[in-house]
Amino acid sequence: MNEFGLVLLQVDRTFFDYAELVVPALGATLAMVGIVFPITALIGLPLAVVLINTGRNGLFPHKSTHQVLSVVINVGRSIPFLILMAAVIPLSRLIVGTSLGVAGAVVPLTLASIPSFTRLMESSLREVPRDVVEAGFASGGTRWQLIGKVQLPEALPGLVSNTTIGLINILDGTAIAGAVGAGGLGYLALSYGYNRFDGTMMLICVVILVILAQGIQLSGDALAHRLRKD
Amino acid sequence: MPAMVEVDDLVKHYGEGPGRITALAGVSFSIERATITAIVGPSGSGKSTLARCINSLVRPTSGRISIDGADLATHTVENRRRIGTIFQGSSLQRRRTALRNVLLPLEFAGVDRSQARARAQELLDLVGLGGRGGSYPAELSGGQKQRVGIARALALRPSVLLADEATTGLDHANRASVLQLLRDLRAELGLTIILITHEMDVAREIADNALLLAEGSIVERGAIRDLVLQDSLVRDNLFPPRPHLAAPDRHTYRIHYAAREVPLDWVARLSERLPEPLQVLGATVEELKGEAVGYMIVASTAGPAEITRAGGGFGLQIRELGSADE
Repeated sequence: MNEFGLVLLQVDRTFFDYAELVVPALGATLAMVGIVFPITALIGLPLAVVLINTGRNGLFPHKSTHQVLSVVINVGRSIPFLILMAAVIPLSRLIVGTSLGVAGAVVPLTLASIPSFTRLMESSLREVPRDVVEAGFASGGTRWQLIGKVQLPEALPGLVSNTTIGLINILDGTAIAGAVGAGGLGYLALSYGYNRFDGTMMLICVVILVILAQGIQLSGDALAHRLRKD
Repeated sequence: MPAMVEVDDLVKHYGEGPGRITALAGVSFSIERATITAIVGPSGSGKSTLARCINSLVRPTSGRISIDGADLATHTVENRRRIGTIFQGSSLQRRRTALRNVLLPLEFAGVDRSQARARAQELLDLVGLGGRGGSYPAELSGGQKQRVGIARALALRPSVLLADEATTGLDHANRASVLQLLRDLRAELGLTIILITHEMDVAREIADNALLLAEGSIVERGAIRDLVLQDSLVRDNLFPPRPHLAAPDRHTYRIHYAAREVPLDWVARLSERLPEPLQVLGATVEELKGEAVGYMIVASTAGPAEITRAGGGFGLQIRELGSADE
């Protein structure tokens, strides 16, 4: 691919030229989301359960654990993603062997999304009325049974709604990661659309990202609605 | 056989240091099998904390609670299952149907699935909701939800049923039907029922015994019928003084009575023994388990000694009202 000639030749691009660039980039974006999201959920949801239950009204109150966890999450959330990406480059190299491409983006993206995802899950769990959990306790449930049979199932519609938000946040993150060498639609939009004034490319990338976000939002909403029984 | 519930010197403080709040300041009592006991008191009296100590939601600072001889401090899960709790309002899981809400304690206890379903259905039948097992709480009325809550509380065949403000917030008809259900349960299953309530009427309607709490201590206890025939706070709560007519040139008396002990025509018979018939200035009569219990305010030319002598043998409790009184 001619790195320098494209600026002038952009008007001559055919549909296939675009497809040739967009399809792999879409694949890279989906790969990033597909790897980062499950890891984030797998870590974030249990963290939220710990966070809420070590709290004052939780099932196993533990002030110091709660506070440490809370501070770590707040610190994690307050670091701008772009800075975090640069800061964890050594860690990325250590874990995945590179700081570039999809693999390189996975570590910072996961690190960035876990804190906010944890808070999202926590706020959904908090919506379960206290007397419902207490009734479960008085019904003879052990703590683990209360988490598994009362807290999580009761919070499920909210958890799904907020997972939708978390997923879209990760999609946003992949676009930002594109700015620092991660590839994907974000990279395409920036390097072709912005740096090389290819408005068509910019539009294509934005439209695809919007469609993805809308798709996630609509299916999340529909699922949450179906799960809600009140 | 030990009493069903024994509470010994129960103390609960919230917080520490100078800001410490004493919710229970050493409460002791026992509750006999198959009785209905109302624990009454204004908000902040400690009755809620007492309820939460009994169903293990709150750990007491000191003291001991035993249920059917077993200390609550040990084997907590098993002991929790000996007590069924009915909560105020809806504590049902919104995403479980009525049947599955009743199933919850059985799932916790690891009861075999088909056996558990049969038991849950049987309980819904018992509370009169046999046909609503598939309904979600949002599709049920307040009274129906409370019935599901009762069925859930009974799932593990508890020996004690604890109703914590179980009728608060229900309308009159729903409240009456929930109370009737509790009465039936006591009769059919021989349950020991503890009602925590700030509604004296509820206590009057179904309880055998009452325990009045104020500021973390028991101030009165006993059979409700005895309490309403004594100078007691329980009585004053059940029969609050109401305005009555005045008879300035006569003595005014408040006469308490219970119809099972007192001849129904006591007003006429007492009048016959006095120089002049009694004038009725006001009256409050309530039903207490089929018995008319209440008081009359009467005026008479007779002095206190004379009327007490005349009323002797009728089982009346006569007290003169001073002009400053009421």
